[in-house]
Amino acid sequence: MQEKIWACAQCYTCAARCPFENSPGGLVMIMREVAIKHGMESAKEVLRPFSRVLLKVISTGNQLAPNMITKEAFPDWGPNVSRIDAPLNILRKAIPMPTMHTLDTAWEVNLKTSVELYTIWEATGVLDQLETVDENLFDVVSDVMEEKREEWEEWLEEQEDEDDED
Amino acid sequence: MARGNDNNGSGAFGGFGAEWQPSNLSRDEARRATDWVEAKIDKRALLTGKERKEDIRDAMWQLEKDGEILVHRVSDVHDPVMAKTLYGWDKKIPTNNLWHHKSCGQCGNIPGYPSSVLWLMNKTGVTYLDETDQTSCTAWNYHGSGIGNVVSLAAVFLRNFHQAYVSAKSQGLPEGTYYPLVHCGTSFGNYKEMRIFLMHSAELRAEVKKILGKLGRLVDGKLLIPEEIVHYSEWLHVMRDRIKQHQTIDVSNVRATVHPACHVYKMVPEDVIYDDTVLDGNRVAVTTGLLQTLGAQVIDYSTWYDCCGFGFRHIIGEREFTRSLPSTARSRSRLKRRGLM
Repeated sequence: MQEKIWACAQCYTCAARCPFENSPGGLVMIMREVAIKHGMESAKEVLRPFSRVLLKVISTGNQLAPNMITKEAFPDWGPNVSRIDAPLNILRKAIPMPTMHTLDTAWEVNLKTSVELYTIWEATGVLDQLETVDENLFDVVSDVMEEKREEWEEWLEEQEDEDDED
Repeated sequence: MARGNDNNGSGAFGGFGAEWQPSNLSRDEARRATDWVEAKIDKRALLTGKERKEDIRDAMWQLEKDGEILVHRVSDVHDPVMAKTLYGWDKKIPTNNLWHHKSCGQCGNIPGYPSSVLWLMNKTGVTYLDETDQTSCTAWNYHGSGIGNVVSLAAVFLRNFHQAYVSAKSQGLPEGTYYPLVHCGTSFGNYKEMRIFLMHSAELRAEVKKILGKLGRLVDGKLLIPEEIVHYSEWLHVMRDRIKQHQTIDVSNVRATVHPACHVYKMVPEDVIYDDTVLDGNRVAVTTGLLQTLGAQVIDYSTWYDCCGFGFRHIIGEREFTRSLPSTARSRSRLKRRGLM
């Protein structure tokens, strides 16, 4: 059972069809939370290929980014993989929305926004859950968070200095 | 051959159990089964025939009356247009002074989507704000992985919507001037789900309030809840006649159909727009209504409610699951028969 809960696509067709208004997809979600909380092997195994997304979403607040599409990540594309060999920097600059001139994130995320997100992760136990499932990923995310928080503190100090000078 | 054996014996991880079997129905039996599905399942009545119907906005207004929350209203400054949802309820769609709540999937990999929406807004003279102070909804970190949880999702939801509320201050405009317009279908479904959980659970409200207080994101010490959660397809729907005025290309020779996204219309079905003038009101109206208005030949197909197998995590780490999903193959063959593929 613990393996099968990861097969659900979370489309909620089951809830739409059920004449008794049950939501099997919702129950699957609760079972997944239990699997994570108890660090079950099935959860660790199934989430291994998803770690790039986990790193991105927890460290930046964006789940997907332009630079995540690489030849290495999509070997199953076969010859079509050559299509992603594109000058991304220039292509992104061509988008008429300046907030999207980015590669690491889908849009430019304000530093303060990221720091606020980290507070949410800490206060809601998300980081503890990540540590249970993937300790290495947890270490990487912690380093990124520390770095960004320092950057934010430095920016605040600079602002204070500038205010004092005025 | 049982398909569960196709995956080196690890069928469960591949999305199939070893007990997966072809049905081997006769042609007549298959026809009867399909006829029944098309008559019963394939209609709006599938959703409206249920007993429990709750408009979560009633609970929201009550909580505001009790002094527990503050509602960010869709007001005159947003030039609202009324639309009808699944049960015939009104939904107020803001059409002006919009705060773009972007989609990481679209901005990251299909940037033409958001760019086109902004282009249309420029064409139709709509005021908007596209700023960097926003995260994605982070729902992949819940439905995809189970690493996130309801409290984190609810906190992210209210943080982003609070930013939309206060964003106008930097331009010297009153708070609430900009109204959030959600780009992502998953965010749209997830945020609506979170609003329901928040309205129902005092415990969740208390937990989220503590976090938002720490972030300085309460209004007069209260949680800020949006009156409506609005997806850009809904904006396009109510703007379709105005958009048509700018049409320069004849699309009457184009045959088109829509596969509505699961998270848009199944996570919180009662809040989705239906319109009797669009496919007899039996299908989600957004996007199809726009195609119809622009003069394309709209094609209907019965497996419109099926899942494509995207599945958050599956499309990244288990793509064979998506490719092999029977419903995807079924929808494709139906579309092929109608000359759409």
